[in-house]
Amino acid sequence: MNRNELEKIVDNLDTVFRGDAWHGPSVMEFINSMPLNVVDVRKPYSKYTICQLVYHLGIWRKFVLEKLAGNIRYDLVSEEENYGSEEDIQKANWPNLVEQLKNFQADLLDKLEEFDDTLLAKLVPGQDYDYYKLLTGLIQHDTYHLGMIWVMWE
Amino acid sequence: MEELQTTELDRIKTLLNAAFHGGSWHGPSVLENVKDIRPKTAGARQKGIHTIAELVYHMTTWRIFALKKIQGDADFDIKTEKQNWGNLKEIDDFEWETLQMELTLSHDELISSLAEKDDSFLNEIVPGSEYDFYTLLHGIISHDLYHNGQIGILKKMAPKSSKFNDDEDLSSSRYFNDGFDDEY
Repeated sequence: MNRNELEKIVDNLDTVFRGDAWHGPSVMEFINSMPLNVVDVRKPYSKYTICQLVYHLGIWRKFVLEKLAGNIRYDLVSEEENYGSEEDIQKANWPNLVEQLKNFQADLLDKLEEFDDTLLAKLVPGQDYDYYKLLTGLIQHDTYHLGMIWVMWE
Repeated sequence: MEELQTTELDRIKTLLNAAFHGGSWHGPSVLENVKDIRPKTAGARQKGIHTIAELVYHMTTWRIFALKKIQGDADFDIKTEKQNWGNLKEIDDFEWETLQMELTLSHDELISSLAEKDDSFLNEIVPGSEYDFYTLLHGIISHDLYHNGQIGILKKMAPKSSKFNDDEDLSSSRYFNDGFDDEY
């Protein structure tokens, strides 16, 4: 069972989430030092709050988990599915949002242990791209939104 | 058994190109985000944040870093603020055009420099560092998109006028909702 490439992708996913990433700050480095008073502030130039973006980063991990479980129909289409309900994105819910993100990340890393490099060439159920694109895309998705969060935090 | 039909390095080149030109899974590429930005927006300074022009300079700088390392230059490093972010003054049409051209050229050179390499190259240690080229190339992609996310917000912070007319009063509408239904 060759899992050389998958392991490197998982390692990168983990590093960008909580490690010493090459590009700069990791997701958890940001979240751990985020003052609570900025997380639900709605800026005129951004459609989403930091709470919403943190929800968004978490729920796309759930998307990957659902796909790995073979769920063809699972998708994130509506605004609420993508960025959370009113209740989800309240400042008071911040600890739960962070916990949810961390749990999805941990579940995803655990789940990926079950696979090898053949996973990377498989098409994601219900989608027209493979797991290589999805997993590397998830890492890039993190850094893209981290950049946004950084500006909104300033 | 299913297998990917390309080499690992080819796949990374595809990711590099997608993050830069378009077709990434996560959303907009660097060029997709940058292409409609006017010089005044690129040079507009928000408190405590680098300008879009500086971010573009910075992305170019780190591509050149990667290129130098691929060429075997162990000593090349980016140390000073000026090396990292440039020493940019007024951003006019010419300056903005030049910054974008340099970014694109550095990208093309980076991709060209990988043409003769094979997958074993990814495990080689980057000269003058402690990490390998796999980390460096994925790092460039993440670095691009991290700053691209910043650019995505910064361009929305700029006044509406800058999108179409650089000569209008910038102070009148700093926070402007452009009404576009972005997917961020």
